[in-house]
Amino acid sequence: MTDKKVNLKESLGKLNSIVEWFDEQEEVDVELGLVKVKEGAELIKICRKRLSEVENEFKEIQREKE
Amino acid sequence: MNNNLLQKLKDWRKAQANSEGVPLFRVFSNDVLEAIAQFKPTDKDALFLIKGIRDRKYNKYGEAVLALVNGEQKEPEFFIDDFEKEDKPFSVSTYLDSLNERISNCHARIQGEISSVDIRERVIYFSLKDSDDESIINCLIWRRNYELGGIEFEIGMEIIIDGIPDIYKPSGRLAFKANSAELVGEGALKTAYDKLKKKLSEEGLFLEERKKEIPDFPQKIGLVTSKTGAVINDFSANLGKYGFFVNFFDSRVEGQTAVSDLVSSIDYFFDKDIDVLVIIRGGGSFESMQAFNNEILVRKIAGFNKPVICGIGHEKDIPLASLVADKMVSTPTAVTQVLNESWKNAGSKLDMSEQKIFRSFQNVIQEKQNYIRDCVDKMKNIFQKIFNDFLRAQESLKIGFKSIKDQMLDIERRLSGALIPVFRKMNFSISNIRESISGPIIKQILGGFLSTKDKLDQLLKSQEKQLFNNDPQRQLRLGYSIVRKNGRILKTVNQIQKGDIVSVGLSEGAFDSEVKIISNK
Repeated sequence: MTDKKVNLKESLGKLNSIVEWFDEQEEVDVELGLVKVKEGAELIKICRKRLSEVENEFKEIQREKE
Repeated sequence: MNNNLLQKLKDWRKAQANSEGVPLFRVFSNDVLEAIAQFKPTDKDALFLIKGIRDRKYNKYGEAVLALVNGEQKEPEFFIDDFEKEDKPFSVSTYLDSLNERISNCHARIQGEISSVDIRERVIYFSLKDSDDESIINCLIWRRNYELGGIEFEIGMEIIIDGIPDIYKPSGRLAFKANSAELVGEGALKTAYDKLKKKLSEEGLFLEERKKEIPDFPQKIGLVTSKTGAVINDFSANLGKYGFFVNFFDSRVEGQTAVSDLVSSIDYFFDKDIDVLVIIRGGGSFESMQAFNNEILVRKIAGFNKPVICGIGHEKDIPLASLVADKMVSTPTAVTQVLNESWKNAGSKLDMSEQKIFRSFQNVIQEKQNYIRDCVDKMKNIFQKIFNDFLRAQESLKIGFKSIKDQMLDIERRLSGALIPVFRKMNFSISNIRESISGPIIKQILGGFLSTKDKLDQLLKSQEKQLFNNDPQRQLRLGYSIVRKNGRILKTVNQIQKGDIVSVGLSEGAFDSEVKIISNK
């Protein structure tokens, strides 16, 4: 089943902001950098999990339309 | 299941829905009608056993449904036959009712030319003329169905209508109740298509700027297509396995009722939680695509509150539904590609982000390492300099000490050289002095010293003799005694009184004595 709690778009957005953070820093604070790397690694793990193969669900609407 | 009864129930439902102006399923679902046709409930209790029928539905339609079921069970004994058998006259109303019941089975599609049109608020009255012998049939269509048809009736227009005949009792007029109307001939359809396309285009409905963007990572999909045919299978087979939730609305996509179905599906999904609405259909002739050129449908799509993707196979003329959709592709499979795209891209985006983050951090670490190495090198250089300075200083000191040592040796050497004659002279002088004092002077001093010594010896012997003679112990041994009072030696009798205790010391001892008599000389 899909992990509904994972909002891939949001997670990728957060990941992107971490990438941008590294781009923007002229001099990276190592401690803060490490925190960002840890956060990024966790997000990557979550996203990878969500992107792994998940079966689709088809549900037919029970309405009559003749 | 009694198919005849089912058909009657469906016809009744269609008429009822038309008169209420509501979709068919609002009256009864197919499942309910099929259950009624199968179990043929003849009373309220039996009807209530069917799922989907409760008080509200029963109060509204129960009587009509039971009449249909019970009427069906009476077949083949026809109502009219009963009257004929009994030779009993019909009332006008009864007769018209029985006629209407019979002709309600005469469902038909009729083609003809519109010879008159009267558009009212809820209904459109028109007549169709036979192009060969000019026969005429009066017709009506409910406005909802008229609008769904998307054709503006004009005199002389050739159309095909679908419906059942009915005698309107207040006027006794027969009218064909049309449920739908369609244009005849590709030329007419093309003209209508071009006209509507121009009109909608002028309204700006096809403009790119009003189209909604298809969201990334769509997950909840509203799908509208027919459940029969290869299209839905193609769609599900090509949809990536990203955990899509597909809510599928089975809709006809061709023919008279397709527009009604499609519009119902869009209405259904309007307030549902979906990310994107997908409408798909396989390829077909221009004529078979007419439902997708319907004005109402096009406007519904334009006004839909979520992005709509249309994947409708077509030839030369793009269906207007596709033109107005937020995203248009030409096959159902292409729709799945649109839906899969962001999910597919996410994987590579993830890889890129991962590389970027770790590489950036690696660079940071490398920079810091380089910095630390530089610092260490600098410190090393500084300490090396200090060390070198120290070595140099040590060397200088060594040289300095050696120089001092040499100088001291030199001084020593010089001093030795200079002192030897001095010491020799001193030595000589000392020998002289020794010799000069060891002669008569020493003899003189020693003579004096020996004379003094002899005198002292004689003095000591005289003193010793004197001390011996005066020793009190010697006196005691000679018979004298020493009398003490309170430790003090008594020299006169005045020092004592009668009764005093005195200590009398004798040679080798003493005793105490009490004074009894004192006699003075």
